[in-house]
Amino acid sequence: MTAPYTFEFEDGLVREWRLTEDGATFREVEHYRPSLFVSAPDLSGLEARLRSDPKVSGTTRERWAADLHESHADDRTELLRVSVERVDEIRTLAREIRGGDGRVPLAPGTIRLYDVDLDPGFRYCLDNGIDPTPERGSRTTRGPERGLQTLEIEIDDPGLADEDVSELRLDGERVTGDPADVCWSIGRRLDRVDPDVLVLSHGELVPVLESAAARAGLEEFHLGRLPGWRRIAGANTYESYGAVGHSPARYRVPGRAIVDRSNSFLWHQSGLPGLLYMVEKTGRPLQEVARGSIGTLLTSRQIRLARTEYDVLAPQNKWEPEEFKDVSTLHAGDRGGFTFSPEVGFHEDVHEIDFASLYPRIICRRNVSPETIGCDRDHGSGGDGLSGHGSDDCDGSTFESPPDVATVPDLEYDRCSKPGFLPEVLTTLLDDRAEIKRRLESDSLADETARRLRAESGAIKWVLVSCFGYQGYRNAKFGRIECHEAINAYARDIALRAKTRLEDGGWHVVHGIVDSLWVTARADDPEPLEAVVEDVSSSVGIDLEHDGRYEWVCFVPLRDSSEGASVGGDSASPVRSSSPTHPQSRSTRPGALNKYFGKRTDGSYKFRGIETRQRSTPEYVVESQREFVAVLDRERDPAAVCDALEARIGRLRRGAVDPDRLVHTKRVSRRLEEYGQRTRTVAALERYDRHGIDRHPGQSVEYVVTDDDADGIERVRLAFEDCPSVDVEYYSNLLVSACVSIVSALGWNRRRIREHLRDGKTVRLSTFASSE
Amino acid sequence: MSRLEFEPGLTCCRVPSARSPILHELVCSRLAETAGTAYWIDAGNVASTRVLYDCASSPRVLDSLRIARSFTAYQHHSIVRRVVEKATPRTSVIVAPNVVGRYRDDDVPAWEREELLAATLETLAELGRALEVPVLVTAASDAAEERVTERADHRVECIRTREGVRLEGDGAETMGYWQGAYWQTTIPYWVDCCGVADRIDPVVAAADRGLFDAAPEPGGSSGGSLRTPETEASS
Repeated sequence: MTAPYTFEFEDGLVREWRLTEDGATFREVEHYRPSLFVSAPDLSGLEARLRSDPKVSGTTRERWAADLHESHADDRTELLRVSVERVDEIRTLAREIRGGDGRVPLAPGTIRLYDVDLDPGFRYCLDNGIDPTPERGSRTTRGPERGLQTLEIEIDDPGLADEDVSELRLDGERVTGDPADVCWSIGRRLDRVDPDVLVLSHGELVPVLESAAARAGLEEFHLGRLPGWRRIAGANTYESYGAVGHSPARYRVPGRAIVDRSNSFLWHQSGLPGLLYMVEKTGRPLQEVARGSIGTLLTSRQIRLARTEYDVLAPQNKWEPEEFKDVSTLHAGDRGGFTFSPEVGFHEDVHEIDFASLYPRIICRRNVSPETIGCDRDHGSGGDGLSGHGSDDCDGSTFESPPDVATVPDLEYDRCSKPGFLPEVLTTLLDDRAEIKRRLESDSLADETARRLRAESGAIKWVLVSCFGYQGYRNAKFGRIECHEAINAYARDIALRAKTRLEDGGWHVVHGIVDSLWVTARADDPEPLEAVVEDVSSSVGIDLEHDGRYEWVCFVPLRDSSEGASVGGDSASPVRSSSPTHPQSRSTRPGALNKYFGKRTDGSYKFRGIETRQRSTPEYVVESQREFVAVLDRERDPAAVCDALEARIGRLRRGAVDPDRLVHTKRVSRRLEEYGQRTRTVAALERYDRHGIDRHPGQSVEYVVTDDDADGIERVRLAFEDCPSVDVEYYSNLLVSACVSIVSALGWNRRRIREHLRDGKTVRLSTFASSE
Repeated sequence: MSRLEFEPGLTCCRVPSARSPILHELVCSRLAETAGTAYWIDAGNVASTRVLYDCASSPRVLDSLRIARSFTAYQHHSIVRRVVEKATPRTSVIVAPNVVGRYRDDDVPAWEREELLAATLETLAELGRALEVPVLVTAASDAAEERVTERADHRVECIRTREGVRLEGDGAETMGYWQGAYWQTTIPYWVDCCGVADRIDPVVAAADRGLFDAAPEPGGSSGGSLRTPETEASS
C-alpha cells in the first residue's frame, strides 16, 4: 500500500488519503497528539502547571540538541515535550507558555520553544515518518505526473468578484451557461476524472462553486471526495524582502490536494512534476508544497533533516545573535558579492563563462554551515572561533586541497571540517540537478521524461538560488549572518582567482557579476579558453563552465550617466569593436551591472535588465525593442535603430496598434487608500474598485494608458474594458526609452534620438506618408 | 563636530533619522578620549563601517569598538544580555542605535514586544548605573523617544539648523558644522577657544534654530553678519 498523500485535520481526527489504482481511500486516525518542545530553567514547575491544562494531553522529558552547535559538539539539552489534543492548539499553548497570558513572571528569553509553527500536514508526516510523495502505477508507466489525475478550473477576475460562475474553464475548455448547468458540468467532470489534484485559478473558487451549487440545489455536488470544505487560513498581506505580497485565503476539500495557481510560485515555474519532486525532497504534502514559497521549501527540508539526522528541533524564534566583531572584520564581511564593473559599449566575440550554482557549491565544497563557521576547537558553541586565530586541530585537511581550508579568506573565521548541516541539505539537490543535466544532454530521452526532468531541474534551481540569501534572512530558522559573509568571501576569492588566471591566459574580462564572467581575447593568440576554464575549475574546486559565445554583447550604461556623457557623439558613430586594436571604444562611463543584451553565435539573443525583460512592459514595446536590437545587429548603426523607432511611433500614431498590446501589468504595493499620489496604478485600482474587484497589495493590475494628463480614472482603462483611444505621446515616450537602452551603449542619448527623429521628419518622404 | 559629556547611565539621544551619522561621530569622539572597549548593539544596519571610518580621525580609533548586529528583536535582546556579561566598569561606552526599531517588526507578537523591549531598556539602564558606564541609545521618532525616556537618566536632542545638526540637552555641545569644505563654527567653539566674554546672544541662538534668516543680504552691509567667522578645515 502506498503512503498517504493528503491529510485533513478535523476535531482531533486525522484523515489520511492514499491513492489506489483508480481513486483514493481514506483512513481516520484518532490518536494523533502533536507536540511542541520547551527549554526552560525550571522544567518541573512548568510541567506541573501544564498538566492541569485541558489542552495538554501529556508531557515527557526528552534530550535534544538545542541548536546545531550543540549537535555538532554531541551535546544534548533536556527539553519538555508537551503534547496537545488538537493540532490547532499548538500556537495558543505556545503563547501561554511564553507568558502571553500574563501569568508567567519569567524574564524574556529564558523560555525557548521548538516545533511551534510547522504546517499541520508537514508536522504529521514528520511525526509519523511518512513520505507523502504521491505515486500511482508502476515506475515505468506513470508519466511526469506520476500517475496523478488533475482537473484545472479557471475563472476570470470579474467573474470571481461577482461570484458569477456562468463562465469558467475546465482543463482549458470553456464552459458557459446558467450557473446550475456549469456546476453540473463540473460535477460530471469530477465524477469522470476523479482528480487527485484540483488546480484552481483562485482558491476562492472553492466557496464560490460550493455555494453556487448549493443555490442551484445540486446536492450531489462537492469538490472533494467527500462532501464538505474548509477554510484553513484567512487572506493576509505581508512584507518580505521589502516587497509587499498578498496571500489569499486557503481552502481544503476532502481527499484532493488543491493547487491555488494565484498563490503558487512553483506551479508557474515547474508545474506538477516540479511540485512532486519537492514533496519528495521536503516531506511537505503536495498542497503545502504548492503554496510554499521557495524559502519555506528550503526551511522544510532543513527542519526535516535537522530533526531526523541532527537531533535538532525547529526553533520558534531566532534568539542566537551575531558575535561581537571589530570594525575591520565587519567591514570585510559586509562587502557583498564581487563585481567587475562592465565596460560600457559594443563588444565583439565575447565568451560568457560561469560557475554553475556557485553559492550552493561554495556551501558544499567549503563546508559552510551555521555550526562549522567560527567553530572552536572543542566543537562547542560558536564564539571565540570568530576572533580569527586559527585552531589547527579543526583543520579540514582531508576535505579538499585548496589552501583556504581552515579559515575563511578576508574574514579569518575559523571553519571546521566536520561535515556540516547546510552542505547536507544541498548536496542531494546539487547532485540531482547535475544528474538531470547529464541525462537531458543524452538525446535518447522520451519527451515525457525530458519534460519531467526539466520541471524538476527548474524547481531545484529556484531552491538553490534562495539558499544563499536565506542565510542572511532574518527569519531563517537555521540561518546565520556569518555564513552569509563567509559565502560572499569565498565567492570574491574565487572570482578574483578566475580573473587572474584568465588574464594570464591572454583573456580580458569585460564584465563580471558574482558567478558569471564575460571575456574577450586580449592577445592575438590566447591560450584556448577551454583549457583555462578547466584549469580554474580544478584549482577552485567548482566547475567553471563555458556558457555561451556571443557574436557581440552590449553593456548598457547606468541611466543617469547616459544623458550627459555622449562620448560617441560624432555624427556617424558606427559600432566599434572592443578588440585590442580599437582601444578607444572602451568607455569610461559607469555600466549598469545587470543590463546587457547580445547575440549568441547560434543567432539567438539574450536580454538582461532592459525593458524587454521587465514584467510591466507592454507587449508592443517589448516587440519594438527586440526589433531595435535586430536592426542594431544588421546595420551596426544607431541611426538605423532610430529609423526603426520612427516607424514604430508612426504605427502608434496611425492607430495601427491594438490596445491589447499596450497593456501594462503592475504589481500593487499598497491599498488604494494608502496611496498618496495619483499614479496610473491608483487610477487602475479605482477602476477595479468600481467593478467590485478586490486588488490587494502583492497582486497585479493590468491597464492601458488612455490619457496620461487626465487626473482621475480617465487616465487608464483596464485590460478587460473597452478602450476608446490610447495616449500616443505616452507610448511614444516608452518607445524612445526602450530605444535609449539599446543605443546608449553606443553613446547616443535621448536628446540625440529626438534630434534624429526631428531631422528625419523634415527630409524623408516616409514620414509624410505616415503623418495624420 | 558635536561633543557629549557621556555621563554614566542611560542617555536617550533623539536623532532626526534612525541612521543619522551623529551617533557615529559621538562614538568616535568618545573612543578617541577613552581607553576601554565600546560595545555597539546594532539594529537596522546603522553600524555602517564606511560612516565609522569617515568619522574616525584615524582607523586605529576604532580598534576598541565591538559591534554585533541584530536582525530580530530576539537577537537584539540576546545581544543586550551578552553585553551584560562582557561589560566592565572600564567599558568606554555602550551604544544601542534605533533601540526600539526591531521591537516594531511584524514577527514579534504585540503581547511580547512591550515586555521584551521593557526588559531590554531596563537592562541597559541598570547596566549603566551599576557599572557607572555611559549607555547611549537613539530614538528616531516621538513614540520611540517617549518609550525610552521613561527609563533614561539623561536626554539629548539633535536639532536641525540651517548649518547642520546640533546637539542640545544634558552635557551636549555643538562646536561646529561641517560644510563640505570648511567648518562653520559656533559660539560654543569660540567660547571653548577663548573663554566667555559674554553670554550667548539670544539672537544667535534663534538664528541657529532657523527662526529667522540671519544670512547676510547680498551686496548689503547692514550691521554686519550674524555668522561667526569661518575657519579652515583641519583634519
